[in-house]
Amino acid sequence: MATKALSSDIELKKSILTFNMKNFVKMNSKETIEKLCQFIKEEITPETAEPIFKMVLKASEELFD
Amino acid sequence: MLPYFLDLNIDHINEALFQPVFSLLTIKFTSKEEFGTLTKKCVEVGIDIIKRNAKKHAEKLLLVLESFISKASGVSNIIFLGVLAPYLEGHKNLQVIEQRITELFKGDREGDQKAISKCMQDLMSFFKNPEQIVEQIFINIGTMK
Repeated sequence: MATKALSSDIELKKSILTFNMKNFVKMNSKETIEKLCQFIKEEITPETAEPIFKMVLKASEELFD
Repeated sequence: MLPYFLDLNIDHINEALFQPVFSLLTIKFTSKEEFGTLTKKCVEVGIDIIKRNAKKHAEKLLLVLESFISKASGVSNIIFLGVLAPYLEGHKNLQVIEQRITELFKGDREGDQKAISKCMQDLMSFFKNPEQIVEQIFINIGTMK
């Protein structure tokens, strides 16, 4: 059980690391980006919040610069 | 995207995220008058984050917001400090914050005044005698050239 949880945590971190949010925001419409935010809201948990916030904040900063 | 995301996921913003979140909100996303709606949304979500966390983490929020004072060029940081101020009763830095907010009201930059007016309701709780302040503002308008 613990191994399964750990492996899914690693998978999530991997997918967050490989997902290019900056490009996603650049390439998609406001509606699609809002849908992604909505999807994150539905899926986020206290355990996954930190890497997800880091990803969004990093993308926001890069897009701003 | 940022204010929308923060608003949706506000429940997950904890102590560890205050620094990176407010850094973006104050130093970047509300730094220029021409950002208009973006500034408005960022100020709104920043106020919400403070109101949700100030009871438990007022000191930490103060440390974070004060660290941006010299770096932030917009008024959002002072507004955030004003919203936080009622949770800091008796704090040694309160007088300095009061001075900054009072200065803000005396300013003449249109964008700043618009930003202040939009969160007036939240800032009013900061002042002990809001009626007197409003009266003084009207007197000042009357004497403007």
